[in-house]
Amino acid sequence: MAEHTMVAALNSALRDALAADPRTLVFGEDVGALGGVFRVTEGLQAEFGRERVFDTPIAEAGIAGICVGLAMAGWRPIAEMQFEGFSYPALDQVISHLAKYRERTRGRVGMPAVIRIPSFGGIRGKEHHGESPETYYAHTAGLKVVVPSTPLDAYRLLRRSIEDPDPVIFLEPKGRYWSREDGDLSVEGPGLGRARVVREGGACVLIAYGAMVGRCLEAATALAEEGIEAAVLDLRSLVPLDVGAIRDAVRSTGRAVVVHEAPLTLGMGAEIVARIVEEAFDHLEAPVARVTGPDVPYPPASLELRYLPSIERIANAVRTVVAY
Amino acid sequence: MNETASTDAPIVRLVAPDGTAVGDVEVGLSRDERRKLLRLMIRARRLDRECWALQRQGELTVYPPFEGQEAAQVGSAFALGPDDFVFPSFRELAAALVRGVDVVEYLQYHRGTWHGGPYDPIASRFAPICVPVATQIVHAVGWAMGATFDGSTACSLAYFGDGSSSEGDFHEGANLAAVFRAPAILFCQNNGWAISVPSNEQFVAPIAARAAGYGMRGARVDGNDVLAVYAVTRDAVERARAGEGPTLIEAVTYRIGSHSTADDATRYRDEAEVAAWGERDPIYRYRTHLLDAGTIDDAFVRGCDEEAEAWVAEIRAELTSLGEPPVAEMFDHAFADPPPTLLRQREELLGDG
Amino acid sequence: MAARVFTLPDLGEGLDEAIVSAWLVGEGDTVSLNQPFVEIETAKASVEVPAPFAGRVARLHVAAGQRLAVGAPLATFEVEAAVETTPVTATPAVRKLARDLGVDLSMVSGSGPGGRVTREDVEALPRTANEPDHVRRVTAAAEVPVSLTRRAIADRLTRVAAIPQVTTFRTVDCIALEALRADLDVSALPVFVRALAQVCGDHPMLNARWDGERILLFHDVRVGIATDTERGLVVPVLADAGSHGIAEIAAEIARLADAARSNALTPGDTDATIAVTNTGSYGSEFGTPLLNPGHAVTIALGVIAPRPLVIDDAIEARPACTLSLTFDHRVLDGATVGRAFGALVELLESRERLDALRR
Repeated sequence: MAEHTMVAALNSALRDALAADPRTLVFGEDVGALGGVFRVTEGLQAEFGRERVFDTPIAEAGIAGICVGLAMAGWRPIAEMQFEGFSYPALDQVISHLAKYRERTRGRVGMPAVIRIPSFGGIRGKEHHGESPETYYAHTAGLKVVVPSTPLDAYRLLRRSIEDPDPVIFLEPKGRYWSREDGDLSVEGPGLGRARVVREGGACVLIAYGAMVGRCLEAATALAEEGIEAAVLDLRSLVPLDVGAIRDAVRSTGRAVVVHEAPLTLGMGAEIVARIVEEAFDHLEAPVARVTGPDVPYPPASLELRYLPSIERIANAVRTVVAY
Repeated sequence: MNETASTDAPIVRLVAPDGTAVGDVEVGLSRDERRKLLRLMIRARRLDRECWALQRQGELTVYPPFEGQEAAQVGSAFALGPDDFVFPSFRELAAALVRGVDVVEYLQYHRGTWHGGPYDPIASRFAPICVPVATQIVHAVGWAMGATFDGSTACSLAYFGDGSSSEGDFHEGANLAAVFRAPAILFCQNNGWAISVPSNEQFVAPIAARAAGYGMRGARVDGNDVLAVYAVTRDAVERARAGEGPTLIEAVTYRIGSHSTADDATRYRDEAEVAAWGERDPIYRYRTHLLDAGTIDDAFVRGCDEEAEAWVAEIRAELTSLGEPPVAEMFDHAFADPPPTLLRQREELLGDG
Repeated sequence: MAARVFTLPDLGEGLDEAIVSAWLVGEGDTVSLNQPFVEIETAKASVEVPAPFAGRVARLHVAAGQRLAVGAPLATFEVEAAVETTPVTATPAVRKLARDLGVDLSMVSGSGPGGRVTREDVEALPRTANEPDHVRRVTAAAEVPVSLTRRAIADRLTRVAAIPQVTTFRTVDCIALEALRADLDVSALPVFVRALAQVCGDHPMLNARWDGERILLFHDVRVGIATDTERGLVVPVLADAGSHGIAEIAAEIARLADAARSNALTPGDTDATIAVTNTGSYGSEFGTPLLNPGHAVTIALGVIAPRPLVIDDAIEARPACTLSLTFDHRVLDGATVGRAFGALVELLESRERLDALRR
């Protein structure tokens, strides 16, 4: 047993993937010699050489676009966008091509590419360094979207995403990069499309992903002291979405609260509430609550804590839902 | 108004518009290959006109004609080897023809039965039709990088228009190609118009002049001179295979027709300009040259015409008998490993498992 | 127009029922909001209730003098449609529960916030509220108000039904009894009562009471005589029946009956130890009389009428009746009762022994 930070776990995942599959490539801005601005790719270029791990010019559309050509030439590209706030120039290549190529070619040419994007808030970052872009990708048919919440799961999910034959947008919660977890790094366990109950509880289920999973666990601990036992469900991937796990959790509790950093309107919460209504309507004892960021651009560092769902906001939502 | 002579950039031309040789026409092609070039151009034009008619008859939804650009496409595509890979935009039917792409499959794009055309891109070495202009340039560069990682000497060729040169992806693709010394040929058909915007409103300096800015080789060629186009492209291919990196080629040509069957160029273009470019027609020019050189005779030309006629009739027959694609295909190719939620939608829409 | 049902509100301090003393309006009347419309009597006070709606009185659900529970329908009003009835609110889970149980949510009053019907509201419903529609739609032809007396009787008998009681029957050859009573010019009842009291002397377990932890035996045979009055069944007591002759008992029975009918019984006239009911007076041959609480035995005297009896191996028409004796099985068993019952019948069939009880 060893202790791993999420950065170290992701680094190991990339290392192990590069070693296991000689067709994998890792590239992006500052990923080579520097090892990435968060050190996620540290040591990889030295180990695997410049042909497997290389830096690119600052050209996000180009980085995403060469994934298409490389995939057509039989490679498995693992590209990095340095921050979610800088990933948008690549959206055309991602939406118009990475997501569509398999369908366009009637299944002949797949895009087994992974685009890793340090995302979400909680690091008191500058503008464009704390946003939540997941719904742009989740709403683009043809893409898979994965969000780990812990170091061990980050290893597992990144390895599985790299092995996945479809294009995966891998959103890493940078606010949790330095979180630690004891255990062995392993690909064994649930893969993409499977949520995980990280806390059992009968009163209500908290549904979250990324950094908000940990925050929900903290809220659940506080609520337990009041006699409210809340379950916590880590979605792990947004596409495919584990609708069965959401359904089962709501059927057994009758009450749900969805938590995400992204702004309220048309966030993942909206999709989850719709699925709950479709799958577990007759079990609802209360309306589903959403605890999210407000519908404003991501704020500066000094306001970040007021923007992000806090333990108290989450706990209050559970209390309200339980008392309905 | 597109002026070819009014710039400082030298333009490669081997055969003048009237068919006389003005340069070294010995470009390394055999006699058969020279004749083949003409046959291909004649076929291409015949097909292009048939497609226009098919659209007007409701057999195709929208069709972008390439008349006037036969030499630019045929000459360049002819210079590629069997392992090289073409990344077209949406007007490269002539290039597709040269590369052996199944024409009926290609035209299914324009019939609205499948995006990109259902031909096998990998087998055809011809990527699907690409509509977001300039995005295919980056694909071509990525493919070329991948080829070098495999130690292959194959190269890629991206076709794009003068309008695409304004897009960010042109710049990113060109820069990436240069930085990575990718064996990619960036082939711009400057046909004078981006829908209704003339090229003198699209950019200021000649496109080929940008090559120096990226640190790559550039060439400007008379796009209506098939031998010149072939030679310039051949040169770029050989450099790419030799590991000398990318080349930016600007083939100056003219879009005789409208942007597409949905456009009417008479609303924004001067008929005198069109007529002037008609005087520089690529097929007339090359046919005259070959006749003068004794490489072909009138019977050959007639044979090409008849053969093209028959061939096009076959295509028409096959194309017009195509049915609708099965609805299930909409669901079956989105993912290699589809999410269960999608499979449920498939069941619901199709009414069965 | 919309129907609005007004239910009996809680008129104060947790009272759960009241009596409608008087209606101040009639069905079909139009009332204005707050117009006095009914007088309600609770255990604590008499209250005048103002009309909760303006509109037409469509139905009065309770007759004057009737008792009803808080929350039960009092009257239905027809009001202007502008007065919107609030739709029933309930969560999806509760709606499904109601569907599964066949409960019409509009019939359930909601205890949740804003009148929301909760799961507990649905689960607490008595099953009668869940009767299918066709049963609820049957309307009664008439309604008989229940007097306090009848209600008290009903309550008592419901309690009595819990006692383990068995009825046993004997037929009595009444030739001797008929001769005696004709002689004394009395009815059969006083003869029977005196005979019973006599038997209780020898069989004291008949004159007993189950006390939960013990059985109480009484010397004084206090016979409760079931008497029918306008108000219902009344059971005045004939005390010390073993000490009086048949003629005196006959006089006393008459006196008690008069007092009962004119509602002039004194407290001393209550508290029997054993009960007798003359069911023969309305033609009943035999029955299963219910015990009065506190009695170990009650006997019903059936009608005396000619019957074919076997006398000395031959069938003869004799005046006869059946006695129906119900006993508390906690106090008595069949054998004990059998011996006592047999003794009673023997006594009633013996002219000689009945004669000894004349005075």
